[in-house]
Amino acid sequence: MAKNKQVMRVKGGSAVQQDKLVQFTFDGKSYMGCAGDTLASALLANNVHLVGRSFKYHRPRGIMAAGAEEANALVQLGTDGRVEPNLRATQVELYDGLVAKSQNRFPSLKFDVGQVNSLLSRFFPAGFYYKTFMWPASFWMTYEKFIRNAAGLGKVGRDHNDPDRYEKRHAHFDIVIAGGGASGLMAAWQAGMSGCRVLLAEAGPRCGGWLNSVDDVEIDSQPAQDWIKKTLVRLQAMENVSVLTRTTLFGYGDHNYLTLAQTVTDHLKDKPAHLPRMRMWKVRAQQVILATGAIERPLVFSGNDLPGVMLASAAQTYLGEFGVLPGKRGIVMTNNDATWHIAFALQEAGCLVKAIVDTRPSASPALKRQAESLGIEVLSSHGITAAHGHLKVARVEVSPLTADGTDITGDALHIDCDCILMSGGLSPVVHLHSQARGKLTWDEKTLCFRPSSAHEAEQSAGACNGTFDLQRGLKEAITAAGKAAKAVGMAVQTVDVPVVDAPRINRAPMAVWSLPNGQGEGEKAFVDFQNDVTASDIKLAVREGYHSVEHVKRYTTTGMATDQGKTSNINALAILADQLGDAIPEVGTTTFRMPYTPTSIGMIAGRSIGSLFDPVRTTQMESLHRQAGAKFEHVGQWMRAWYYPKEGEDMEQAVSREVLATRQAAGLLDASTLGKIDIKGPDAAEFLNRIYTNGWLKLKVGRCRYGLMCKDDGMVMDDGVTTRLAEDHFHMTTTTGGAAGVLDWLEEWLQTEWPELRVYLTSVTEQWAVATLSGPAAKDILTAAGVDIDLANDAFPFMSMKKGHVSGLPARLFRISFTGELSYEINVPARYGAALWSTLMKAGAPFGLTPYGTEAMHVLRAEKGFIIVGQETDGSVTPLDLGMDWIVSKTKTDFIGKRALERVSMADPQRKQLVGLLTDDPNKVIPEGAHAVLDPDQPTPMAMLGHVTSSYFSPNLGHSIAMGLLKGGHELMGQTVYIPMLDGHPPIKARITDTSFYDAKGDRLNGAS
Amino acid sequence: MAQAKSDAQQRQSATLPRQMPNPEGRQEDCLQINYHPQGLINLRNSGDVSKIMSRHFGTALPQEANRFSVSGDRRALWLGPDESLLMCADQDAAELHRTLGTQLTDQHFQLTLLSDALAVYELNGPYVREILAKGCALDLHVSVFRPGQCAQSSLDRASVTLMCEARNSFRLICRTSFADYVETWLKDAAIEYGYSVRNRLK
Amino acid sequence: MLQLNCPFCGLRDEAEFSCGGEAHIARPLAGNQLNDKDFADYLFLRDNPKGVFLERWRHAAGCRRWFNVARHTVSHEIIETYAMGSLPKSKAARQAYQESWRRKTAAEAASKPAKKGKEGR
Repeated sequence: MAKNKQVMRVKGGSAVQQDKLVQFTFDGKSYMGCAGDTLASALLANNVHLVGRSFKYHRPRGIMAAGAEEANALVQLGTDGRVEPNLRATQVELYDGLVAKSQNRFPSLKFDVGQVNSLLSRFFPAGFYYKTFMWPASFWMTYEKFIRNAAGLGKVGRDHNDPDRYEKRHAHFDIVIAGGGASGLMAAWQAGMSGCRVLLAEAGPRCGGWLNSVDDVEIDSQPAQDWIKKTLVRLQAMENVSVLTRTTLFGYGDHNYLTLAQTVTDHLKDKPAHLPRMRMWKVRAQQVILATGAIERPLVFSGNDLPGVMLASAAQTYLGEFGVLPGKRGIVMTNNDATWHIAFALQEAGCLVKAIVDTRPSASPALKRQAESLGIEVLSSHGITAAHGHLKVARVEVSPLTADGTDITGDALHIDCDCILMSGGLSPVVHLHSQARGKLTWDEKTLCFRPSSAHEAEQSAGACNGTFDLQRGLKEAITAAGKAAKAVGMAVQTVDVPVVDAPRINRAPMAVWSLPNGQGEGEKAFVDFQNDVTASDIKLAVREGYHSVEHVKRYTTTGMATDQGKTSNINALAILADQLGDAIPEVGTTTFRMPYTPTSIGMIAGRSIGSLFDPVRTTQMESLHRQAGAKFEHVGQWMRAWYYPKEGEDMEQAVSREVLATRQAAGLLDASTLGKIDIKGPDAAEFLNRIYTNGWLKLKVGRCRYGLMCKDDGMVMDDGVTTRLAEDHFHMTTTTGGAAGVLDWLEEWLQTEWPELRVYLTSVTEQWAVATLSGPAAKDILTAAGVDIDLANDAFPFMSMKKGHVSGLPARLFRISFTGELSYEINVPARYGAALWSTLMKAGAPFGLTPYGTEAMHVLRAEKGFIIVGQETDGSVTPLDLGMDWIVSKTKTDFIGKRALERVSMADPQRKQLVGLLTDDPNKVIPEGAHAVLDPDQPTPMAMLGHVTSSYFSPNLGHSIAMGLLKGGHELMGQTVYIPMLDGHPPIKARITDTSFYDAKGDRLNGAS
Repeated sequence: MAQAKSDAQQRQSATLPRQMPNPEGRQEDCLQINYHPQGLINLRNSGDVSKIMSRHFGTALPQEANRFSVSGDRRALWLGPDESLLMCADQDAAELHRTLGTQLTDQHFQLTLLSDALAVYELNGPYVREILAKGCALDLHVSVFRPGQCAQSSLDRASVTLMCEARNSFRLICRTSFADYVETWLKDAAIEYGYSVRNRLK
Repeated sequence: MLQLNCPFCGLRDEAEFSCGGEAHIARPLAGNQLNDKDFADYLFLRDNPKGVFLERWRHAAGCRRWFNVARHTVSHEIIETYAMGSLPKSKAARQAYQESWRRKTAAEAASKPAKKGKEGR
């Protein structure tokens, strides 16, 4: 157990329990903090200021803020698999045993090798990457390694899977309120009282905002913190109001679609296994009220990034909420009144304020009197022109300034100190308003951008609206909530505006952003702390011709770090405006992007990982295939039996055995995944006639027909066999992968182009389990299994369908064939699928029935030259390219694709056409996707003819077979082509042939063997 | 096409046990997941069939979109302006399919038996809405999605139809090929509250 | 994410819908004489305006019905949704319909004679 050495802890602190000590580890060293601390407040309590190294120059950095705007204190949390980099120490809640590390340092925080970058800093100016890595181009590979190594801050847990659960949930609310400060609470109360469904989301663990760190404010005659507690109790008692703490509204999308990140267990030492670490809320809100408060701006001066330099409001928070002093001897640097009050509070709490340095020529007499009574020296019309120190601020130079604060008028005073508390005025947090495409306006009085008009149904209230006065903010919140409640149709019950009793503070700052540099341009005055962008970088960018704010942003990278420029944007704009001689509103702002604060990728993935990544669809026979030792492949979302290896067989041997057995005896395929659509209505035949390229009107009841469907551009889209069940009733099959797309396609034409056709469509894919029995023994096996259908060829001819029973199971038998063998596609209601498969396997055993998978199916159909849509076609292939002119009707007045197929370019003899390829060496199987050329000796890049679409070894032919799409292929019949190989292998020589490799006459369809 | 990766992926529902107790011992908070075999018939038509339906099915088709009508164990769900789903006891479906088919002959219609194509789950428990909201973007608030309402939507990556039977009682319909996924998804989403699967499809 | 009003099911998330692109592209009848260039107006050319756009959407995860939407492509405002085969009612959407270059194409002239359901695709 570490000793309790919280030397900077003083009494008080509304958030901490000082009697409850909590142990934690930072960079391997053990410390004590208090329950309720953040990691930042606990480190400061232990007088630890140096917590990180900066991104580019590896400069020592400390804690500069107390909230989401922290740019420096990024730490890595956790050990082993549970690691999370780049967390803001100011938002990490302390728990017993927490382990944190600093980042971006090697070998240690105090001695960091990368600091050499700082000495070389004149080689890292604005646009450094653009300038340096432009030449020579071939060196990019070298540079890239350097950049990758230098870039980034923390390390992700690469060696472990993330052990945490992350969940998502959807929700709908009438009114969502972002921010649980006084305005947010007030708005929630008003909205809740009006009966709205309300969500109040507060990013931190506590509601109340800045009121948690002051004790001189009363609301309705009670201390503000009591009012907050009471209001919260009342809100939590309302069934229609949800209050979520530790929940950040990080993304604002179209039509009030909000994404919120809730951390559920991060603050707990023992994390319950049944709870997610984080939960992402996807919320649709009718109305949104933003009450996100304001962020203090730093001032830009030389050395303003030293540990110990802090926003004055942060010091107020550390004192008021956590009972922690930022230092023992402080300098307050400001351009406004509010900071004086912070100086007084610090002085009273035991931090000796050595001077209030104010850029303004004078402050109000009341403030001056109070400073005098507390014994604080006041330096008006002064500014810090340099801060010095090694690893921490130790001394400042304070110089007298001109009235406008731009120049130094005399010699600098040197003052020793251990902390600087700075304030450049307040910036409303307009990020979400801006994400929601709301417009901003520059307020000349308070010198900040505040929301003007909203694009979404959204309002801002309180400090984020530029209303810094609490009384007015509360009133604004009530008005906004009332308006929102009215907009969602509720009868508004207006609540009373609470009466605020607080010191009157003039929030208008002096227009000073950047203090003159006492050390010359070489010394660094930081604008963007996280991306290490200095005032001189921005000036350099302007000198080099970058005048647009968007260009300067990208060139200097200011505002582009993970903090999205929360503290830097206005200062950067002001410096840019000054350099251009423009006013700030003329320069404009850049876009605020989501996320408001960085969030975990794990949360965005949610539970869509592992077995829930994507649905895996299985057939009714799947467990039987598994028992038979099948290997599976994914076809779309379906899992299909790929091949059934026997003991000691590899894939090639298994497939070869299955292919031979099917042609010599019989094979059984699970074809349940084929898409099936029931089509019914008086115009069904006419509809099919327009959908397919061939004719359908004359198809007899009980007969089947193969059809090819094109898109209206004439390109093949899907194929399959469709059967006429009755005059007005058809059963269509589609490819496995195309099922959903085809149904959508048919519905589209029915609903949008041909609403006059009376046709209904319903998917029946899962209703039927399908076993395809194929091979010369098919008829005998079916007979053995027991069938009440006459199987004689003339009674049940090829391309016809019969209803009956197989082994007592109700069945539809389709005599269609994808193998070229005598073949029955047996459809039974899916519940009987497994029974059908088992029955057939048993009945077929004496005949040598062999189950075959999708790979053997591919080989069998390729032997016959049958195409597979998506393999032989790719959306750029017409029926004519496939040599299937026979299926394109010449007599129909119209079908989808007809006009397109008549385009001049469709008749180009140089289109890629489907041909067969027979290799000279019968054992050489061409790789699928390989390209064919006429002359293998031509210089590269060679003139390509086209590519191989399907290629297998055919066990029945004892020869390699392939199909390919080759330019002018039909004209090249009989010619020799070459398929160049990689890595010095000789090209494969092949002859262009017809695609029908086996049983070209089709004798085997009727069972001839 | 890639070879199937692992058994875990293939047999999804095997990865979570059939029962998970409530973490705080409140068994009554668990989600009850029960596959319930149902006779299902899809009806497409646009004319008035209220008399035929009342007489031969037991209840007329719902008048409003996204509602279902009830009579005993029978349900008629609105699925679209010319589409309904009829739900009955499994053993009644074939006969009903025949009867309705003969009754509707004077109009343009389609009646399709889907008992084997769709799986129906009964979901019961005080947190059923919270659990479904983890994957379904509909507003499932008690004041909005009320008994007698149904809706087709998505549950994460599966298409589902949800029916609200009572405040804490829903039916969920999905394609049978998605049943494994849906079952796993429900169990996973219910870990926070506990669950038990009483009956499974496969 | 947009929120669209399915004419049958009401307001639903964009994720439940699929967008079918530009609306009111009349399909030329194959029997009509139309040269390849004019046919290409129908087959290939699609509008991509900055402003009011008339497009087709389908409630894919819901009732599977098609309908038309008038959407402002900059503000993402849904100006109106209207049934397949009908024309928009709002002034802005009507104007977008009437001012479309497509109204003057030979491809549109070669589509079926005007009657109910014609605007469809």
